[in-house]
Amino acid sequence: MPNIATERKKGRRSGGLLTHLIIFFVCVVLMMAGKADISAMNSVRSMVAGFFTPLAEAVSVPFRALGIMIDGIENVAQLREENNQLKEDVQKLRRWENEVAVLLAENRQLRALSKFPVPEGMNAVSARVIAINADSFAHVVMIDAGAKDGIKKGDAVTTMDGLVGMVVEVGEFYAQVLLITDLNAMIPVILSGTSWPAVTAGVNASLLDLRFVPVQAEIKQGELVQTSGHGGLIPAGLPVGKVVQITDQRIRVKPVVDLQRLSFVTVLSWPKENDMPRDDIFEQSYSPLPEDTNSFSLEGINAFGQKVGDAAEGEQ
Amino acid sequence: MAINSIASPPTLQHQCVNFALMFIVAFVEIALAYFPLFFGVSPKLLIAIVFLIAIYDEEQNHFINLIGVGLIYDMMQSAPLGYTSGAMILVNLFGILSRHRLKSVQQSLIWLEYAAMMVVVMIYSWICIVVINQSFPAIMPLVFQYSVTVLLFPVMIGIYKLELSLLELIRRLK
Repeated sequence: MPNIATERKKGRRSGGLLTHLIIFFVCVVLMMAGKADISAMNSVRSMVAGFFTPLAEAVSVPFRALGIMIDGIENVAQLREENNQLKEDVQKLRRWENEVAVLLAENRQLRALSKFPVPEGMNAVSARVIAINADSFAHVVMIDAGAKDGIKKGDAVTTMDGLVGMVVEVGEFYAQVLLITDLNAMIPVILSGTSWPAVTAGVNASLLDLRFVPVQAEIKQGELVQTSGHGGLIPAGLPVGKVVQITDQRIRVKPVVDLQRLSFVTVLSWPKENDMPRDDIFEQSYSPLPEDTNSFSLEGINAFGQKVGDAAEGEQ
Repeated sequence: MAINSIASPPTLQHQCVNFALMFIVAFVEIALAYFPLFFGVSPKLLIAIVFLIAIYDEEQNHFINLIGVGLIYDMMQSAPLGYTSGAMILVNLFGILSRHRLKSVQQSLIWLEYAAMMVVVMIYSWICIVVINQSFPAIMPLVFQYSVTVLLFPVMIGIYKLELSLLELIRRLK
């Protein structure tokens, strides 16, 4: 009981419920007055705040340091997370970069193909190289166009740069192309500078052999070798390669097409109505020598082909 | 965590020590905002210390202490003048009304009472913000602020014990 009495006494001394309420009301009035934006009150406020600011600064120093430290720890964790995220992004961007590079290359090649001059009377079918034979046994690539696209055995396969090879196997949806570097590929060609005929022969290497060159032919280093069109399978005028090596034993030609980086090719095909029968191609392209009909006599012609004697007088 | 009442030193000294404690706690509360976690939602340590003084101290907080510290705090924080003082008056009244009851109960129940008092103060704050700004604030920052204040009750008890030790030291020195 005495304790309660003491408490009550102290309670009266410090202020009772009513006093608390009055002061609380005063506080509310102060808030409302502050809302009224009284200039005198504002100046007092700024003065007091300015007075205590250094103290607040001093008290805040350890907390600020601690805050910076905690912030630093958080930053490390964030940086680690961000680093992982960035690594993922870099991987993704690298994949995209590769895809873009592939698409750009495809685009460039397709643009080049679209400008390809197709020989008159021939059909051109664009195809993608889908498999390259990695074996040294044969230099063959597979393309994603076949019989359904009108491709036939023996069709010439080219790029914008020149001849790639010829079709040797045709499926419904694909075809196999024998490259000009293959051991079995022999292409009738002419030397572009002198028009001497020859044949390029693959040796399963990057360079071709130039064979059956007439002995009179003067071959220059760097001379372009192009298809002659003999035989009728491969159109004339397609660049095959450039002479890069001339020795006593052999003449080497470097293909103008980079065969190791084939992506898109154009297959040149004769239309069906003009199609040549491939099985008896030899018979078709072979013309026998004209028979001697005795209708032409060499009598009265000298070694230079000039008429001499009676024949010449008769003409006069 | 029982706190024994100590013999009252002379009132002026006691009130000065209380004022100093509240003053320091107010600045610590302001400084806590430097932690990114507490930016804009510093725990209401000042309210907590007023509550502890109200229920444990033989000498109750004087109005001048409450209003003075509250006004300084408001001025430092650019809050409406009287906002913090009003909350402190409310808490002090709450503490005075329940101090007899709380002296004989367990510490956990005091903590519960403290939490209930914080809900009242939170509602007071919310009403003040709505009335003064005439718009409704987000409720979650307020809830976070007062929840952290409730969780820090044991820490505040520790700080208050330090004050009691200081008062004891002053008494012995005299």
